[in-house]
Amino acid sequence: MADAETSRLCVQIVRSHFGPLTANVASALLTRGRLSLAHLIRYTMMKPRTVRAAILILVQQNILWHSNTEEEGDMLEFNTLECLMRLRFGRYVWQAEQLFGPSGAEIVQLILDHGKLQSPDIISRLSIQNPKSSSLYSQTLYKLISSAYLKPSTLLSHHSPRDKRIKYEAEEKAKIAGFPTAKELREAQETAEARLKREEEEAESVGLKRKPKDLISHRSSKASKLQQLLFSDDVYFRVNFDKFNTYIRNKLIEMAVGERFNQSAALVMRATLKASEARQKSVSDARSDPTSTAAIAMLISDDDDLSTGLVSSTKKASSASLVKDYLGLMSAVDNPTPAGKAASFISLADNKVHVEFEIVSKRLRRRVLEAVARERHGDDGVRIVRLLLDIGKMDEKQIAKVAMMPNNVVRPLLAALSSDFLISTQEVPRSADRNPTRTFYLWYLVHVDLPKAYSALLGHLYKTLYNIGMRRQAEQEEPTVKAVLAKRARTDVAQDENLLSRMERDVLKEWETKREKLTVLEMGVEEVVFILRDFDKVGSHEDI
Amino acid sequence: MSRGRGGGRGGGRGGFRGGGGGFGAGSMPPMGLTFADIQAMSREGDALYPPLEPLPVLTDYSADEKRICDLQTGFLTRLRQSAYYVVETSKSNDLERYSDKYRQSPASQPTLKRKDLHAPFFPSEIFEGYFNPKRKRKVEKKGTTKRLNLDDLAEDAEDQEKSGDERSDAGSQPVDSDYDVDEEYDNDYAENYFDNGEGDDMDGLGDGGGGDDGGGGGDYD
Repeated sequence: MADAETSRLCVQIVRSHFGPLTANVASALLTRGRLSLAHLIRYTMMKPRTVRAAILILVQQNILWHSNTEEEGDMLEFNTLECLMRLRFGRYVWQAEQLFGPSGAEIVQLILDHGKLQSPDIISRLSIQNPKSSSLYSQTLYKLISSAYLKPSTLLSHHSPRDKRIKYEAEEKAKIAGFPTAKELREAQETAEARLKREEEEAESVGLKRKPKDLISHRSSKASKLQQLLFSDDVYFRVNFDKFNTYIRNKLIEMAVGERFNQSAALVMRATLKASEARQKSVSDARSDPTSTAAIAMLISDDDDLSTGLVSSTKKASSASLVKDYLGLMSAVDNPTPAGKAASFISLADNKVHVEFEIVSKRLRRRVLEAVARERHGDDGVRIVRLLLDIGKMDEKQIAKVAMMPNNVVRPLLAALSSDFLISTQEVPRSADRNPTRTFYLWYLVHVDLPKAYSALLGHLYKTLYNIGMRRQAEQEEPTVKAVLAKRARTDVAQDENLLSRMERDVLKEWETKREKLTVLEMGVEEVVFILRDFDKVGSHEDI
Repeated sequence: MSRGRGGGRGGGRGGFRGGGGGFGAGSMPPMGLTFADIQAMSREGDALYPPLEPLPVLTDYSADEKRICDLQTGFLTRLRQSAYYVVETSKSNDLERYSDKYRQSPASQPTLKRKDLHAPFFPSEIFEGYFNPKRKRKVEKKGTTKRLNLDDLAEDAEDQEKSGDERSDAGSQPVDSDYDVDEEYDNDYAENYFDNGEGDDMDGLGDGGGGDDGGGGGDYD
């Protein structure tokens, strides 16, 4: 079950992608939690055939989990995270184009269209136009799979993880003899979790293990060897969002470095991230694998001039030493205190460089929080938030004193900030009974509750995304635009655009510009959602 | 105001005063306002959309971002024409027009094909139910008749139900299999509960009816 903002956004995404009928099914599942088919038919009041079709579509696109229990039969559950990822599909295809060229982009696009596909299917669909290109497609496909951009879709991934966890926990608990203590229950829970994770990892590595024969064979003619790809033909592949998300993350880090230092430093950071790209598996890594400064120096092309970014006494410095200087800058080598560490981007030890994802992510999220506070409550609000983040819990009189603001300014600000959930209060009663009428004895300590603040912000962002989508839909359904779009959808007009009058073409062009602007805006908001949600290392299962 | 509590405050710890408690009995309004301020506040509601100064404007976007947007919109347009967009046919009574033959009707939307989907990934009942409507119906009927038989106690009720099911079977054969789930419930109730009085004994009808009416009328007074 998801909260109101998330479910509304998910229903809207489903409606624009799969139609209003499927959206009905999605909204019933989101508001009521997991349901069986009979209940779903009753709540949506639609024809059973339509409901079945909608379910099959959603399962194919990986948005719906299902599980089969003895008591209840087939139960269906909605996967909100997967649904929200659909907003990023354009970016994933673009990223694939940057990395693997147009053929890679086409493969990723095809798989995203269908949810999951088998490899011979992919190649045959794409080579319909041009049979000769099938070898190119199979090469690119091999590259995509071996670098984990595509992962196999397993039977397990279709079963709801919650159901699985409950089942495993029940099995573990059954092993406990006698009356279970709290510690044993906790251990049972952890064992169940570990088993769940292990199973998932095993299942996903199935598609990738079949390389041994390939390696043993000689490299005589690579093209033909690659064509006899030995991963089995009946594995269904789907896009691995995690790996693509690492690129979004890297871009964010690079931009952060560019803002903090300068463009040349950003170049060095880009090279550093690129050096360990192959081994960056998912966004939840705390820090990257180590690379050496030599490797980084190699990745910097000759025409990037690094010396413009640093003022140095020597006239000519080698690129390697410049790189070392930048790395020293970014790792806050001059400030070995905890404050310095919290402001660093990388950690430098001997010759090994790690990019500290966790530290950077904390900083970026905090920046989002401060930006929101500044926009809503002005600079004074930011001052209070920063103060509370640094010091912890404080009484309001103390806040007024330390922030050097008068009391009657601080009080309304605290109330406003707390109604936005950016800060919260903690009571400390003086007397033994917590009698609220004797307010005299209660101290209110104010502090910033970070998880609560972040989830409140995430809720607002989902609402913003929903509003953008609604605006786009409203523009599309405006009478003149709707008539023109319906006319354009006619098969005779689709082939000959001149059948549209000049005015209709203008209306169409204007609508397309508006749609583009709204989509750009959506991309921007999505990026902030990424910082707040996906960048968080500790992604719990009770998310969203 | 806080005379009575002053002793407690003096004897308390620390040098800090409680936040809300600084006003003692709490009769003052919160947030540093005074009663005069509250009276001076306007009693009308705020505007639902207060004017935003300055109005935010979309910054310029690069060619890369435009490309990403085009790709994202491409997904939407392709999905609209694909088998993954669910449409239902509905009859409309508008006049037929010339351009209708060029318009996309719900019938022209591609539908899900069994060969495109990998059966083990889907819940089996739902998968079979969609692609094999006839076989699905038989399985359902057997299940429900069994349950009904166990619940019934009276013999004639059982007979009526059996005949009711047969009738509903005959009724729904020509009709689309869509309705079989709903039809069953309706038919059972209609066939089994309503007793249109044909089999009743006609003799005592006048007295019983009159007596009932009198009793009914008496209740209202």
